[in-house]
Amino acid sequence: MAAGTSMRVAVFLGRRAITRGNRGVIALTVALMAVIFAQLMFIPSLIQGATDRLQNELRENLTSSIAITPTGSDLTIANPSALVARARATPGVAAATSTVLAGSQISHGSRVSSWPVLAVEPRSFAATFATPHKMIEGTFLDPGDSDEIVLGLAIAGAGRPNVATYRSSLQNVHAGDRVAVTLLGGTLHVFTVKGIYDASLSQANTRAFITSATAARLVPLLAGRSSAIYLRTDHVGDEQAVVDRLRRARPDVRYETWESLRSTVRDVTGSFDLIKSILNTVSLLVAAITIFIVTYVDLVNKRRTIGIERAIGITSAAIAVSYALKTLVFAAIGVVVGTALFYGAAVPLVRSHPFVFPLGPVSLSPTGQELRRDALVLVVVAVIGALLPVWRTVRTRLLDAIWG
Amino acid sequence: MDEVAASDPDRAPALEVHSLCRTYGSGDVAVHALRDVTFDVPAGDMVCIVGKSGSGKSTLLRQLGLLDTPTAGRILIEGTDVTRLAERRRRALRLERLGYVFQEYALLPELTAEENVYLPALMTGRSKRDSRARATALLAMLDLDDRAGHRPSELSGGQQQRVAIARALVNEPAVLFADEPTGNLDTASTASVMQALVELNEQLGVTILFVSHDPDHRRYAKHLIYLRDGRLSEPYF
Repeated sequence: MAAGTSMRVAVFLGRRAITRGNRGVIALTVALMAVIFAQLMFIPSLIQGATDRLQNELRENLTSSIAITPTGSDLTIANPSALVARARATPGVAAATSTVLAGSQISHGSRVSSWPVLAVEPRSFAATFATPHKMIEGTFLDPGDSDEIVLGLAIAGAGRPNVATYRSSLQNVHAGDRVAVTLLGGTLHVFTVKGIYDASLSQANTRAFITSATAARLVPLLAGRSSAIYLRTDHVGDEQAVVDRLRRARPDVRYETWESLRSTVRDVTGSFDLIKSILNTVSLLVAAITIFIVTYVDLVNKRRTIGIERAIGITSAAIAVSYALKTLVFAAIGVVVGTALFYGAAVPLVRSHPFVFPLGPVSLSPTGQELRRDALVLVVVAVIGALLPVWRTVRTRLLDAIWG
Repeated sequence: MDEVAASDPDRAPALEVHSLCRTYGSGDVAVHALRDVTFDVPAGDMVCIVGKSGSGKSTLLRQLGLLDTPTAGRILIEGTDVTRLAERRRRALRLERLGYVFQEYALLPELTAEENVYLPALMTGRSKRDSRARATALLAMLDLDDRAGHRPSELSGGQQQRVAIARALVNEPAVLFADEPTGNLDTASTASVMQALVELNEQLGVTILFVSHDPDHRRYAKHLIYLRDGRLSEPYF
């Protein structure tokens, strides 16, 4: 018997089973597939959301999109203003700011410790980083400020003992308090705390900021110097193209994208990826077993029908393929319904009521690539889950099958 | 009687059965359902297999319909020994040369009457148009042309059994087997199904073997085979 004939009969039987099968059973099967698919998407999307959030925090508060630093033993970048101007004129760059390390020790009362004190130009810094928009006390620096400093929560403590870094912080510093800063060259200067920020990402909260003008006034050596230039690109993913353009003009500095600088969060994102992989595997196993059980129960009821089909001469291949086709269609519809359920209900719901993680609110962040992969995997698992019991049934003794 | 001869020696046998045995289990628990059964059925004959419950009637029909494999003996269909064929060949024979009607109608519930009938024709590789034409003709012959588009659940028992008969005949088999075809039917439906079998035998010349426990059905057959405890107990006449 030609394989084509078996396929033709399989399609004939499969189509009839789909269009004329028990509506309730079909609806339940599709609903089950849809829920399995939505569930398959949910946890990985949540973890991806947490990873995105973490990387976003890193980019917006610590590394920016691209960090430009001196090469070799140089401590500062030569002619930084020209590089900043060129960067701002480069296509794909949304903002650029220059910083210089101005001090390294801060004290308040009897408490003292080392934290980097960066001199920044407030406007361009606020255009490049989100930190100035995350003030929990006071406000960020203005260009005209002098003798004022902004502290991260990990430095100030702000009287919040529940903060993980509280014990190592100044513990009880608030906006308006005065702190002493040891500047480069050993000069001690007292600053008024203008504001305290909390960037969610604990590593980003360990920095203090003063204005470039103040730094130049107090430490003339720092005037016109830069220890790092940070760029924000228009779009995430454009970084390497921007680096390539800038490197042609200024090859004498080191360019690093946020991805290469994310070592501080690599362990966390690596753990997230591992958890995602494990949950994905478990979800797929659950999906496969569930589909197998559903198909098996369906087949128990269809065993006699299969026996009759065999008795009248229908090939086992035609019977098996007809069930595989039926499952394929149900799985495909389930994927479509599950996708609609996920994007139409779960994503908006979690967006309006996000999960609160230590690094802030986290929404679902599904990716098209994962959706396509999960859809394909679900359909393949469903077809295999259907074929196994069907193949077992078509191989039973014919009379046993006919008698059900 | 160990061996019976065909009633008309001029006609070639559609079916030849030689020393057929079927034993279930082994040793002390072995059940000998068929013992040394031998007979020929000429082409175009209509034979009723009769006997008490448990005499081996259905077991015999299942061996002949290639739904089961005998423990010993030989079965020849149109002169070809089919006893030990591989399942693939047996399936092809069931599809193309044999028809089988079950007691419980055994129609596929998701197909209409017409689709149930033409499904085996599709399986032989015939076109859908040709297959449908055959189904339409058979359903008309069995007075079911107005029920062609109905599904089994919308048909009476007698109508379902006549659809099953049409399905068994769609590939023009050499032999049609019917296992208690009226076992689940009321008196009126029984008469219509039995009459349909007689007419098909006369009009199409198809060889028919049917099993019945109803003594009244003997009148529909040209010949009878009596079974008792798995053996032929009366002459084939």
